[in-house]
Amino acid sequence: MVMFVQQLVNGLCIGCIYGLIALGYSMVFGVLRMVNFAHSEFFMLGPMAAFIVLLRFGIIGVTQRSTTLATSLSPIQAVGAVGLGLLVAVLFCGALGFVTERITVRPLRQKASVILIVGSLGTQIFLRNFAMLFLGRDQRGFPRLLPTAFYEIKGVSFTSLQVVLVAITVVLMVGLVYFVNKTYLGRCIRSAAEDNEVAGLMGVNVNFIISLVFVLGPALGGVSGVLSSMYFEHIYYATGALFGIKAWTAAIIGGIGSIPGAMAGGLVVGLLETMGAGYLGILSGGRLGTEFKDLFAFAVMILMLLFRPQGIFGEAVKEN
Amino acid sequence: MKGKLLVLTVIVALVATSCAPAATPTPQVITKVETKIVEKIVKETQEVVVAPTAAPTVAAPTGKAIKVIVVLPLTGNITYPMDLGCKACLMAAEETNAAGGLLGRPVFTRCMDDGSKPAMAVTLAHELCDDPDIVAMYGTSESSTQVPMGPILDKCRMPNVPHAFSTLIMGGTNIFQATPSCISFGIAMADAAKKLAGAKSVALIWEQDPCAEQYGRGFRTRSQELGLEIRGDYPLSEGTVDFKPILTQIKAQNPDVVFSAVTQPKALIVKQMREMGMKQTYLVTEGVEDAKEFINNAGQAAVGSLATGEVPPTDKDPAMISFAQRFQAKWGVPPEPTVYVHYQNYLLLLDAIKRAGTTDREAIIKALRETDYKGLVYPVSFNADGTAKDPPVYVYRLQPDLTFTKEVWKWVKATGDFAPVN
Repeated sequence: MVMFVQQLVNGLCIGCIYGLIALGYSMVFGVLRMVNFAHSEFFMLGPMAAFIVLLRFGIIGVTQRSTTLATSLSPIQAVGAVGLGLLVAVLFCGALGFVTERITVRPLRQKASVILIVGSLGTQIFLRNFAMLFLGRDQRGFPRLLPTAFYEIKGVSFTSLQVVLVAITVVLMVGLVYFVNKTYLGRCIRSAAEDNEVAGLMGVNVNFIISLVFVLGPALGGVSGVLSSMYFEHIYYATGALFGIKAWTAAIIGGIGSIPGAMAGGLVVGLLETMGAGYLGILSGGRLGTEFKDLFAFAVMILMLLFRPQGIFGEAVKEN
Repeated sequence: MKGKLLVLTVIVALVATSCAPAATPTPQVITKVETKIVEKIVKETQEVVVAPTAAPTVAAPTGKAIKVIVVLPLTGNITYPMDLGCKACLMAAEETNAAGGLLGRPVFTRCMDDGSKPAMAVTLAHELCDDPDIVAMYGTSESSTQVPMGPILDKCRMPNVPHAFSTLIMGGTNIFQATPSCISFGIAMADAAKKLAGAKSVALIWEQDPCAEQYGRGFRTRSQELGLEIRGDYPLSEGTVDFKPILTQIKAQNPDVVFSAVTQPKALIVKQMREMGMKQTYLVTEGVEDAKEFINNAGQAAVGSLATGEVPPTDKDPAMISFAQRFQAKWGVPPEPTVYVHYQNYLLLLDAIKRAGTTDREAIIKALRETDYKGLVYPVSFNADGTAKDPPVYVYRLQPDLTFTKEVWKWVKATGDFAPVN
């Protein structure tokens, strides 16, 4: 039982990261009906940008042997450092998302959808190679920034960082739900997601809304990247691809276009993955090892596409 | 118009990216002009090296350059030590040229990137084979890329000294593995678990890579022979960064040591272990080979870890100290332990060409087979199948000051014992 609860804790944390990335996929798909493959790279670039700024500010230091905090930070300074890292990721990824939309999406928007997809794939390759060429090909350490306390309740262990990760995710999701449902811009996003042309006829500046979505989505990707880098204490130019595919799976499972759906999908994928790693060997009598942990998540995605293609929170729409 | 311009800009940007030098293997055909440039560089180098010491003048190498290509993963999983390995080979070529060249001719070397990708490596092997001017190849360094390259290189009879450890790379009569095998590293780690860590039970985590599988197999088999209880055996899926689900299982199984046969994420595993309150001794393969990356990423969490290496401590032997000084002076960074082996084995290849007395590939292969080379790190000679005769395996313990060289043992293969080196 202890192990099961521990796996739930593990799954919740990784699920939050998948969920935040999935939000970006979901928002762009909701408005443009396109898969933005480049989104996974914002997850990687956010912490890269934060790393450089924190290094410049002297908050973290890189020696030949390790990447650590340059000086010991007081709790308030540590919170400030995390805030700075997140802010840098939001600004950098938001700006990059905006530029990406103007260069690779807007000119191609009226073309066939396959052209848009190829455009986003090209952008993904460009961004990844850009990161590799200019920021290095090695894995680098990324300090936790926050002092990490360890807790154990009845054999189940967790850290203060895990609590922070879950808390930030919840705050972001609640904020985003409020923004989309209760604000004017949010209503504009929803109307554009419903029908671009009709929204335009009703006075919504669709180009602006699409740009906004391309700022918000990557900014969330950047935030999840920083949280993930603090959690796993590393950054690497190729991390985006793997997290991206899991997050895309989460968006499909949760119901693409739905904000709570993306989060729920993220949690489902995270939990399936950890339970897969923890119990697949036991359930299969040793025939299947932990290397098949992704089997669960992708099998659920296929089943979902077959039997409930709109996902957990999506609404079924009949084609006319 | 504006839109078309933007599309054009994107296409140009994408083309520019795809032409990035680090990711695009393009074998170089030496022209007469390039040969002259090489000669000029060699001459200038000699002037710099020879003049101050007033040593007897060495005749400058002339004629068509001898092309020995280095293939290493310069992008992908293990880039940092490989980049330094490439630099070591370039330095070896330059020093050879400064000393009069090879067969009186200059050596031309170029590092090419297999990207840690089998498909890219295969393309590269075909391209190298198609260039008749290339006389030999050093590298590559990962079994997953060396295995598919092997048959292609064998078909064109390319003399090849790889830095990959898996025995699966063997097969062609043109390949000479001058390093220990993955299986021997795994066996050594099982011995270390019992004799250095005092373990009675173990758990292992391994990547699905030709070499990592052999690390695991060697460790598993030897552990059983030693009577160690294997409490957990966990293969990894590619790209895993969250090990907590597996470590949760291992924590419940409570083995004395955790052995990780992985290349890239070994630092992540030990950090997550410590975060979960696991205090087991961590055993890791290749921890010494790419020490900087491992230590940089794991930090204090890795202190006390036992790691294998193919290189003895580098701060004792005068020749190794001299190499480190020359390397530092030339490239501005200290060499990683594995770099010494790249330097040695690249020179081993040049030595075979020298002994062959010709650039004919078949003759070089014959010379390689008869190798008896006293290198910078360890002496090398080959068995009939091309594997090295008794290459050494060392085990290091990472110290609290994050250095590896204070507690080192040489593994005695025949008995499974460890002889302290310091």
